[in-house]
Amino acid sequence: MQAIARITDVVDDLLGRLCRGIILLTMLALLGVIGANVIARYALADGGINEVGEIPELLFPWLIGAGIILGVQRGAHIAVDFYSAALGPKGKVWAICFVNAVVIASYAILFQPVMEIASITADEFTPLLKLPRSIGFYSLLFTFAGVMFSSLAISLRVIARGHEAAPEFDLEESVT
Amino acid sequence: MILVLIATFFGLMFLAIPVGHVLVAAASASIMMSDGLPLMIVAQQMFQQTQSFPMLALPFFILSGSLMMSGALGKKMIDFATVLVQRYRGGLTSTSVVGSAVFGGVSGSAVADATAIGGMLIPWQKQSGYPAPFCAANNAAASTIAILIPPSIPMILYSLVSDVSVSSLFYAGVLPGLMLTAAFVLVNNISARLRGFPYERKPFDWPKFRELSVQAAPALAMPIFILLFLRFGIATPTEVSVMAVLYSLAAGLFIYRDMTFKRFYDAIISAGVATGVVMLVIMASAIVGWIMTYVQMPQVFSQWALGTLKDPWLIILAMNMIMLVAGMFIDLPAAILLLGPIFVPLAKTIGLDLTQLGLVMVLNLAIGLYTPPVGTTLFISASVARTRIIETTKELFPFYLMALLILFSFSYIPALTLK
Repeated sequence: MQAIARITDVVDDLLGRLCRGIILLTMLALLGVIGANVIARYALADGGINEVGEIPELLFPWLIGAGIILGVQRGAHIAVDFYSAALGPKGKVWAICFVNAVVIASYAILFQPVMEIASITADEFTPLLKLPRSIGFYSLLFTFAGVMFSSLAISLRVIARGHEAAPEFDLEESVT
Repeated sequence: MILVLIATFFGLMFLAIPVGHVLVAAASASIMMSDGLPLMIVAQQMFQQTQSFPMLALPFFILSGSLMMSGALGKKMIDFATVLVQRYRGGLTSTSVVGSAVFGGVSGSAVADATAIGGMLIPWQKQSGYPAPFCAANNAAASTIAILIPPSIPMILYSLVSDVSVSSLFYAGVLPGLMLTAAFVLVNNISARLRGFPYERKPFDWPKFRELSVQAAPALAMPIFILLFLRFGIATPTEVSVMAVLYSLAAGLFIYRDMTFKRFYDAIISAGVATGVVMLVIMASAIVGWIMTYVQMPQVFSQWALGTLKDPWLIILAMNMIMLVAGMFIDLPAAILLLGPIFVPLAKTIGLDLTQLGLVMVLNLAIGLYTPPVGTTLFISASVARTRIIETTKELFPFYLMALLILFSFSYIPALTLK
């Protein structure tokens, strides 16, 4: 179990790095594009850059997806926990595994429907940039796959190393 | 279908599964149990929310707040608030209240305020002889002022479910924010007089006030810029949020000269994660909203409320009670996104202004942030003050009283909703 947990941790770490890269690139791109459009709206006679409307539609789902996955890895998704403090170390491990099993199952059943929509929209293209509309739906697939993998990695980690190995609930990333 | 939704939602939520995932699971289970509805609806509804241009304001308002607060500015804003109120009775704890109002104009997040201000001020207040539970209670309640002063993330979420403009909500949020500030300062002052909290009567330090005003001016000006840009239609909320980031960057680089690449990188990643967390709730709430519309729940609830309660004032009271209870258990974004689609049609039916409803919702659910059993700012503040939740909750009663007084004023006096 220790060996499997080590392998999933390495992959989970790589996934985290990928997500941080996606967040950095998409945020900077969106910042540049929207900022430039505000300037262009007042500077150009035709009132802005038309393509700008399409870029956020393509990038925002990837930013969100990467944020959701990193949220799972850092324990940032808000939960109402009434009972885990009353459990012993083994009980806590089982509770964490149960929570992650429900999360994995919830997204696994949505994989097929999203694949179907992605294949349908692959033939549709955005009017200005001529990019396939399926790009957005692939971000949803990436999100679901990432959430499932990170949840699995957390479960294996706590089975191998105990409940202390689970990510602590991180309030720093709360928006309220 | 709706029974499966409700049972799955509460069942999974009380098993400590994160709210965003619970909403996805409950909605999927509900659709799977229906007669012939495809699961594709879940995917479509989730994806649709990612295509909303106004929602792009979320990551950028979060980022601008994070950039402003993580540098030297945070300390200067606290010093500014300290100079303003420290010399009065209850001044040390009033600093947290005024500090939250000032920070709120930058962060828009109660949790960020509770953490930042509590971390800086509670140890100092305790050292000066204030009881730890009172310091924690004051910090927990005061930090919620941040979500009323623009930019306010909950207001953006409410605009999504109500179609009320972000500009109107931001503008209307200023008055309740300032009223809560005054009310909580009053609680501090009265408590200090009645319980003999220590204070040091000193003359007002004008030179220091002038110096700190200049230093804190870029942050103090930010909510004013945001309101002016939105009010006069110079830019959309998303564009204003991007300008706020550029403004924060410029302030860090050229005025405070403390912006580093690491600070910028950390703020971006943190804003990205916060966006993911809140957007998952938004995406999942959209499916629940779709199901509620499909089974005509808002209409059924409106008919029940009108038939049973009849009087608008009773309906408003019932809405408030439901929100107060919901706020005690459900996180604020989820509560707005779930209750909004039910209450907005009902408000229209009884003639309650939708901007007023927005203020009532945010004021009401903000109380939930410092109410047990699930109170985020309560937990943070009690933890920072190293005191017990039960003792902190006892100290919160005067704060609850004031907050409820303001909540009911805004619920029943439409003139308080500035337009």
